[in-house]
Amino acid sequence: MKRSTIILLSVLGIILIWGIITRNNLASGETDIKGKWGKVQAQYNRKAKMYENIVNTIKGAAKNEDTTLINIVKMRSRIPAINEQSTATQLTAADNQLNGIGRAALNVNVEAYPTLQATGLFGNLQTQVEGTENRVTTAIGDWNDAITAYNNVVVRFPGNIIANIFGYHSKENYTAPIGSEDKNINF
Amino acid sequence: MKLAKYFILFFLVGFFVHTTNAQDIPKRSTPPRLVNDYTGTLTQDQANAIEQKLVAFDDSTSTQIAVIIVSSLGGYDISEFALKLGREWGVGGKDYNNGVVFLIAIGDRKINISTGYGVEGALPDITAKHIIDEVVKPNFKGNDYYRGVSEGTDAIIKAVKGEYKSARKKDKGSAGGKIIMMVILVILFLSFTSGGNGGGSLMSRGGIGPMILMGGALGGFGGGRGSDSGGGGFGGFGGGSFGGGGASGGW
Repeated sequence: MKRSTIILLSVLGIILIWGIITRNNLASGETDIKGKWGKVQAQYNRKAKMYENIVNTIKGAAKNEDTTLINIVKMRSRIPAINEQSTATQLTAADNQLNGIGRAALNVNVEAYPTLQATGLFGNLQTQVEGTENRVTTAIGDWNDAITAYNNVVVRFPGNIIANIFGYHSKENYTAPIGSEDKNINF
Repeated sequence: MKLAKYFILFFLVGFFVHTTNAQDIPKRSTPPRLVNDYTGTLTQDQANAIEQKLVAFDDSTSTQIAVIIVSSLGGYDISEFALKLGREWGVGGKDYNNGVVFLIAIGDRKINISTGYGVEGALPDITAKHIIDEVVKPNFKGNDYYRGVSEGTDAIIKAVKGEYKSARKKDKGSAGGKIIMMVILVILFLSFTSGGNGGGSLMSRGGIGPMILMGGALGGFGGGRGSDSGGGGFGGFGGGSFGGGGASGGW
């Protein structure tokens, strides 16, 4: 065989191997995003459940018909569920809704609920809210990183050639909900 | 022909070169230690005493508790800082994610206990908060940092004890496929450079091509390493991951 033929075959071989690797990377990137979305879902649901418990506890301890309380109980029924098909926009909306409930629930007048004060529930709430927020943020961050890594392969040359051939498209990133930086807890 | 070779080299190098962005968190020390005091708050003896206790706990339960004392967080939120530290260092075993990061920022007067995914059940956020508020904080307020750290780690050990009993597992070699791929590529590269136009291409001169190629391919793994150095000392971090669990406080 001529030397140039060997080189040509080698190059073709390398390009073929690279194509297979890139194709597999895209596939595992998609799986990775799915898995991380699952974690976001789990953490979001954990957060929703926690706020629900908080609302229930406050409701149980309530003696008077507090208007704030009635409002948050009403809001609670409007928390949208997050599932595999949900988009980043839906997550943002749901998270906004949840944060609203959290703020309202934590802003109730503590003096009106002596039982809550006695059990130290409010003391533990801040820790729980903090941990929950951290977990949701971390899960969303990981998911977002996975999307970015995947998108980089899809969009950048030469990976985009393979992505086009096999029909991989870039995915929507997560954008922080408006007012998400406002997580104050006032007791 | 020569031009084509350069073009190919350029092309391949471009594929495999990874960009890594530097982080502001401290790098893990070599050899790895569980007690990392970057401020000199603890004396050598004090640090060693805590280190010994934590290494013994790691040996018997495979749960790794890393104590890190820094002077400043450099603008980071303390829980974010601890999370990054835990993940980057790989505190805890890879299979169980049973690591705990006990972070103290002396200058910022902040404390954080972060739990790996596998410890969240044994050491819930509330417990972590209680340890910070009731065990660590009072000692720190009295400027007794050693006692604060020592009793804090005791409390963490007590909480986590019994959660994991199995010894550390060695990592499985999942990198096999990549190594084979790498070998094939190197052989192909060498076939370019051997013989032929004696003038010497870029590759045949220093073997730069294969080296860069190897570097790029190697960038894929690493991270989780559970080597046993044998003989009493700390064997190294296991590659555990964190999900944001834990609690923070100040004094």
